[in-house]
Amino acid sequence: MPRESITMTLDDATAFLQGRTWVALATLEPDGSPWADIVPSLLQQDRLFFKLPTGSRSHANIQRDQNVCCANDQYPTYYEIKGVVIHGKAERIDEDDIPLGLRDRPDPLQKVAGPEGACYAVPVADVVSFDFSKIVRR
Amino acid sequence: MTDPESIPIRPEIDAFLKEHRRTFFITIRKDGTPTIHPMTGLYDEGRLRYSSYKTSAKNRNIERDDRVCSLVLNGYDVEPMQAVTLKGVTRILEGTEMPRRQGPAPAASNESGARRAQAAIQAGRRAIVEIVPSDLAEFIDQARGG
Repeated sequence: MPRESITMTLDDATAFLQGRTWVALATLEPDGSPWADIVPSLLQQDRLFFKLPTGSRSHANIQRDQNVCCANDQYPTYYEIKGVVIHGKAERIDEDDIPLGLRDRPDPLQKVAGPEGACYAVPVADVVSFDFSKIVRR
Repeated sequence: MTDPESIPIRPEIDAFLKEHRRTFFITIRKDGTPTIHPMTGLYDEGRLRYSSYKTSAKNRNIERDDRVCSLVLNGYDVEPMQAVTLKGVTRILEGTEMPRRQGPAPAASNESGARRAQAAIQAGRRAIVEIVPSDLAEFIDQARGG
């Protein structure tokens, strides 16, 4: 029996990300292996913007290889689990073009605003999502 | 099969990993780009384990490239947020038992889901995957490592 689809619509996935203030960020190390971090984020005009310290390992990785993945999820109860994953190439955003809502958003792990941070954006195009409320066979 | 060595993990990090299960698991896709799998991880004895359908994207990815990374967080909507990043290699374990849970049951406990997962393991549809840490960064006490 084929498994039922629990994928969100793009609108639902976008709405989910609009309610988040950070994402898990995956980058590639020099040897092509993965690395992960938590970064403040903001969804605006079909692009996910995120910010990270310029001295961080993740920033060094992005400067070398723009391929990234961003994700967040929720788990109030099993059948309310939702998550969105975005793949893409991170584009550097000039200081003047950083969305206002992201400028002073604190690093969730540092709890300080990050004036020394670099900003990047990923288009919301290559999206994987799941919504366990769509599971029929319980 | 050789038993790969884990890096030493300090007691406070070991305790954090045993207590918390919210995990972002990162694998490498066929085209060499990274992808993230939000999931539940179970840590014990220096290894992080999870169960997953054998045909899942994450298992296909690690069969091709066993280099992975896991980001373990201290729950959902918890302040202050704390995290540990574990980098390492995976191996698929032979066995028919779910990894043993450590610490208190999570608030959003899912016994029916756990029973279904155990049944799928015994039926051979799910595999238990173990991550052996080779590198670590801690984001605890708001001290940013890595």
